[in-house]
Amino acid sequence: MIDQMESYLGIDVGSVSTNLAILNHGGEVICHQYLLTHGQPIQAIQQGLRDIQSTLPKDLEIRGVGTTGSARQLTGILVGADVVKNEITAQAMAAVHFYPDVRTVLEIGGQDSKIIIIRDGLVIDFGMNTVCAAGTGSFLDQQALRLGIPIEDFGEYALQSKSAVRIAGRCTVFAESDMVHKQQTGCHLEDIIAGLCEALVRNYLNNVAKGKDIQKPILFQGGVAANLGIKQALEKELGMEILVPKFYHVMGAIGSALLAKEKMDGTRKSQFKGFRIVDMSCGTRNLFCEDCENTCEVIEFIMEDRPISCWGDRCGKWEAEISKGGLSRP
Amino acid sequence: MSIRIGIPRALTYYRYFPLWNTFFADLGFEVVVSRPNHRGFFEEGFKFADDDTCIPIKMAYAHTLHLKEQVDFLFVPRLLSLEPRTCFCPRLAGLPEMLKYSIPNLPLILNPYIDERYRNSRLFHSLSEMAVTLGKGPKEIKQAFGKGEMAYQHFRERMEKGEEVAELFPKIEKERLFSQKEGRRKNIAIVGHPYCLYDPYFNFNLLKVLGEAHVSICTQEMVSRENIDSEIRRLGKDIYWTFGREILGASLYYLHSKRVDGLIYLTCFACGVDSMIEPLVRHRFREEQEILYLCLMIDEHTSPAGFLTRLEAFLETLDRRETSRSMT
Amino acid sequence: MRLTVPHLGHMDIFLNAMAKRIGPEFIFPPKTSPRTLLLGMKHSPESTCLPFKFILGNFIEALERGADTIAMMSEHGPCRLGMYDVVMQQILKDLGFKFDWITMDNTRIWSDYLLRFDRERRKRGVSFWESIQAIRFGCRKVRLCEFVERMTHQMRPLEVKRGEATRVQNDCFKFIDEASDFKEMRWARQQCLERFKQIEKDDSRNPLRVLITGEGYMVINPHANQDIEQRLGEMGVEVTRTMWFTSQISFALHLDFLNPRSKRKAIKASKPYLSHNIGGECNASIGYPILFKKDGYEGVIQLLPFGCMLEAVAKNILVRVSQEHDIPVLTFSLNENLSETMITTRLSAFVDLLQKRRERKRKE
Repeated sequence: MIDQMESYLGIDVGSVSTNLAILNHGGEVICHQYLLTHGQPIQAIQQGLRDIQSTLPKDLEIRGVGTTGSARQLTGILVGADVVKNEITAQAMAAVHFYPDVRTVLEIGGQDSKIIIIRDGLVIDFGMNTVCAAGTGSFLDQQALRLGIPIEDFGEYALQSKSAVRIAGRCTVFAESDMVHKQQTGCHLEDIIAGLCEALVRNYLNNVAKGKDIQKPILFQGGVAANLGIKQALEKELGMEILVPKFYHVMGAIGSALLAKEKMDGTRKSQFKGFRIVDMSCGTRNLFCEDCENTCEVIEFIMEDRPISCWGDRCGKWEAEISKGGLSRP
Repeated sequence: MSIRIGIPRALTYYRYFPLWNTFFADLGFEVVVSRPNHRGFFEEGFKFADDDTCIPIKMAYAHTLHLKEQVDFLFVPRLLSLEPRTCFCPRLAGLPEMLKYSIPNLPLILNPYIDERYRNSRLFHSLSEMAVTLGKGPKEIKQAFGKGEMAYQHFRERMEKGEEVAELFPKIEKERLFSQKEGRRKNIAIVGHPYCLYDPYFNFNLLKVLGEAHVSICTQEMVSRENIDSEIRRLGKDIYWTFGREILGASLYYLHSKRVDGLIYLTCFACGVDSMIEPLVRHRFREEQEILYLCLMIDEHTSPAGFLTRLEAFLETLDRRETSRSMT
Repeated sequence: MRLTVPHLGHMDIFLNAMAKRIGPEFIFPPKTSPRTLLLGMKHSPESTCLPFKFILGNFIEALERGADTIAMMSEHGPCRLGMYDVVMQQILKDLGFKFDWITMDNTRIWSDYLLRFDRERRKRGVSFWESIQAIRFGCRKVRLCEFVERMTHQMRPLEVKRGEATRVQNDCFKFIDEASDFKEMRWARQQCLERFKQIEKDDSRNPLRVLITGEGYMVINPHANQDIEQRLGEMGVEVTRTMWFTSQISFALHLDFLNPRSKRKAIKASKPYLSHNIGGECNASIGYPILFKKDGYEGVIQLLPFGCMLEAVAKNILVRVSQEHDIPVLTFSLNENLSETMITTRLSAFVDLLQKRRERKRKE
């Protein structure tokens, strides 16, 4: 019997953005939120929950929570997650949910990028950016700032370009000096922006996607997917059509909500602490453990002055000791 | 119509081509060499190469990619060693497979296993085996090999005299080269792997600048084998890389014989051999201080501007040194 | 003579065992730490490989501690290992250290290892019998350490309390190191078995099995691979690796014909993909996945230092092996900018990938 009230919450907390999504029993997206992390994940999560709670229909009950993103562990402890999974699994889950025969997922985020190769609904290969951030959104942000053009308008400019300028360099700084040079020699702004998009795509394909077997259907998600200039540059470079899903910017959250739904299957009891956590005072404490040469950075999570959890230690002894009173005891 | 054998213009092409070319030509094959001829030639090839490798290997990918349509066979020997007790960079040994598994639709690769350190895999033996599979008889193979060896010897002799350099460095006027005589002209030695030094992708700017300055150029091939051996003996460590040994031996020879005013070591990013050899060269030149030393490192993203600036600064410093010396 | 060597797996347990009986005096570098790597990075040329930087750091710390003689392995190509001695000596001399250097060339086992050892023992007045016993003792310790490690590999994915298997493992290493004769060794062995029996475990789990292969230094040293065995074990994966002291020595002495998963067999298995042995672990890294797939291993992780001349060839070829033998391969090309999240995210995504594959196969 389908429980009409059941819903699932997914939270993706990354270095640049935090996104949330709530799905119903049928896997449809009821509401979602997207906000900037601004280096304060706890505040971002609480604000995100506050915002999404106000849009949630009254009769829906959260039956499962999943978290993902670089701060997935912290988030999981703060909200009481049932599933904590890495971003690749989460993004792939969401992609397959909307496009069951997707074969490639391209994700260009604020500070990191990924490529996921899927066959018959299963992830068979993936790649992440390793050497630097030149194939990520931050590459564009900096230039947008310098040119004084809002990043949202980048796409429009790029589409108007008749002939993109070739911008050299793998590194943001070198690309910038090349761009300045081109501006000073009178190149059109649209052409420069189109060139920038192409440079980012080149970096992405040469770095993150190197050697991967890219096949259609191709999905493009992540914060940068809104940028039509990038989409165009990708299509040009790959010679294939690129699809941008409707919820391109919250796919991580959708994926983790789906993972939670999969795990809970409507019968188990969720560990979700409830929306009351948005008003609790939370913080972290950290120290460097000197007990051995690993010098792990141990982080303790405190809610309403009570230490709840502890992680970061390679050997596990801090994690085990948390029940006995926190970081003050070694 | 004769069978076409493709040789990518990369890596050991820059040293052993006369041998391969004469050998195949004498056997009646048509040798086709790739030539970069359009914008994007290199980038298209680099896409197939791995991130962990150096540019010369990536060049081999680019050249192979553009050669594959034009030939019946590709010649990519599995080169481990061509001189006793030394070996090449191991990437050369794995190259045939690396190409085969990364670039689709390649013609058959002729990859004789050549390792001079062992009897069964010596050059003549391996080349014969390969030629036999191509339908050639022992007599003609022997003759072709003899001619190939002679061509190679001739090439080395000319390199030692500095004559081949003019063809490999087309922008330099011949009389500007190898003036090892004393005089007002400055002598600069350039060392590095042949496939870094002589590949137009790398050396274009270097030579233009040198050509316009008043310098004479010496290369590592101009140092005799005996001199290199004796420098390595002095070092006390048996260097096992063929090119590494040559570079180090030649650099030390130029250093000790004081025949040059400056030395430029041209290397590329991610070169394993140079990562060990260059610190040894650099250390000795820094200690000695008489001869100016410059290391230029290239990768796919080298901007001509930065490269040229350093080169010009180097030449400028040489000039000033000479002026101040002639004044004292 | 106060001798030092780089940290390499259980080398120090072996040498300690030998030294306890017949000397010489060893001053080991302190356990490899972030400081070691920082020192190594600071004083190494930038484009040298990661093992070089770790080992240089080891030597600097050992010399700081009072060692006066360095013994280091070498080989006659084709990779950079054979050149470590000249370049490191140059750097250490520039830093002002005074030391002697002993090069042990792996291609000259007779003259550099055996004859030299024999000369030394005569100098110290140690009898042939005593030295054989000392080596036997050392070997037994190393074998026991490896046995403990294999038990840990099996136990970790089943442990109920995170980190317990690792704690027991480290205690066992201590027992083994402290044993001063064969009798105490027997006691140590007993202790190890007891401790492992006491670990609280959940036998109902059916862990994934993953093989770790690649460049030797990176595979055998947890400090170089960010404790990858521990991380995977705690994610519920049973691992094994391809670099062991015992397997390397039996390969070198041609004594490995009975082992179905020996390096020799791995090199042979790689022949269809790389027809000649080009040196190092390259061919073996290509062949091991083919062999271990038959044992039910479901995934392979290849480790290499960035720019490794030999393993880069294997890396390329493993893509084809992975396709043709239907076994996923994840390659880590590690450099000194080892980011924690980079490793954990990729590992957990890989484990998820393998888990889903297994479930999919079960359904079919």
